[in-house]
Amino acid sequence: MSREVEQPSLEPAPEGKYVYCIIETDEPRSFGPMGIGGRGDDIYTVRHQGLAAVVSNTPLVVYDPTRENVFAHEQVNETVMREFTVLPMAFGALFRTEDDIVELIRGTYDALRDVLAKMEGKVEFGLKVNWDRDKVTAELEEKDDEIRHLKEQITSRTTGSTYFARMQLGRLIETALTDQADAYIREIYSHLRDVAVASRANKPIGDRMIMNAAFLIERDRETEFDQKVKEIASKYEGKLSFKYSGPWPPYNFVHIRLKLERGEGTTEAVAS
Amino acid sequence: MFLIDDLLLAPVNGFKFILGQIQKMADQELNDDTVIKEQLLELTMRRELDEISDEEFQEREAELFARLRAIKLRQLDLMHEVVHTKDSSSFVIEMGGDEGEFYEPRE
Repeated sequence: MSREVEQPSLEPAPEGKYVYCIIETDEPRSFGPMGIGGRGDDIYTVRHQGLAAVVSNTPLVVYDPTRENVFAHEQVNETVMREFTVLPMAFGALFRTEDDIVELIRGTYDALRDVLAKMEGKVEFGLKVNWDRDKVTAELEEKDDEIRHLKEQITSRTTGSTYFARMQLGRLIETALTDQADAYIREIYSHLRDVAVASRANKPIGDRMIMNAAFLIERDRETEFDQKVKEIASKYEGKLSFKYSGPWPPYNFVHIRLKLERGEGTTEAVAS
Repeated sequence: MFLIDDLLLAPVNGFKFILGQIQKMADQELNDDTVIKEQLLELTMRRELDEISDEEFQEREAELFARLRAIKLRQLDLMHEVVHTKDSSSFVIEMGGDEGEFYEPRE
């Protein structure tokens, strides 16, 4: 799950703090024994003038963003999110002491307040849309006259090279597929746009996915958004499969990353 | 003599050049973590679609992270980079989302 950074030694790694997110609270809070690292460290708040970092104790070891570790990070944020608007930290933020955290909050205090106000009452939903590429291709080959014609030509030809005809067919199909995907995407976005505050188009993963988006939604319009997704999903049942998830903290719309003052390196901002 | 030397050495130098290029490409791949990150995403996707078992997933994930770690170790003095203090670091707030708040698919 985690490994020590330095050469193996008998000494245990020194202790530090892992930060999950920033929230607004005047009261000290605890969110249960579910800290990253599997020791059951308590999740608590390190506060500074109405702002607080949600943290747990941890040995100072590097956490790989494995599914298990990312899950621990996200689970804390999702728990905190039930009661607070959260500004998620990028995965893997380790600090030496509470005092270090307070100083960093102090350093960005106004900006943190601004962004928290902006994100107030908003949550994120993810929407991934997959299609069956082969099935769509088969449909295109039937419906599209140009494609069908060319295909017939290739299969009926008994002599001579079909190389260029095949190339052309491949290009035609590729273009037709892209157009078809774009048309679907356009319609899905226009259907959802009125019930969402903002969107973020991420790169699709693998060749079955045509859309990989995140939407920022007002909490009190969640059911409306839900309804709209169901409408569009049922319209394309059998053609497109919708994978819909949330509510999540607004990972795709804001996160806090750490910048090293010395040296040029910065820590990784790992979006989920 | 010059000419003959050049001629004799030419194929050797050419071969060396090719070896050099291959080494360069290999280094690039070894140091490029984006490829591995994409493989990780795809792996997660395949797990979610139940194409591979939990066991296979974990095995492959561990492999990829080992490679990622090797890259990171090469690139930086890890401990120094990873633990932050008030003197070493500051917060940066990064906003995301599509331009103009909403994605405009192309016509």
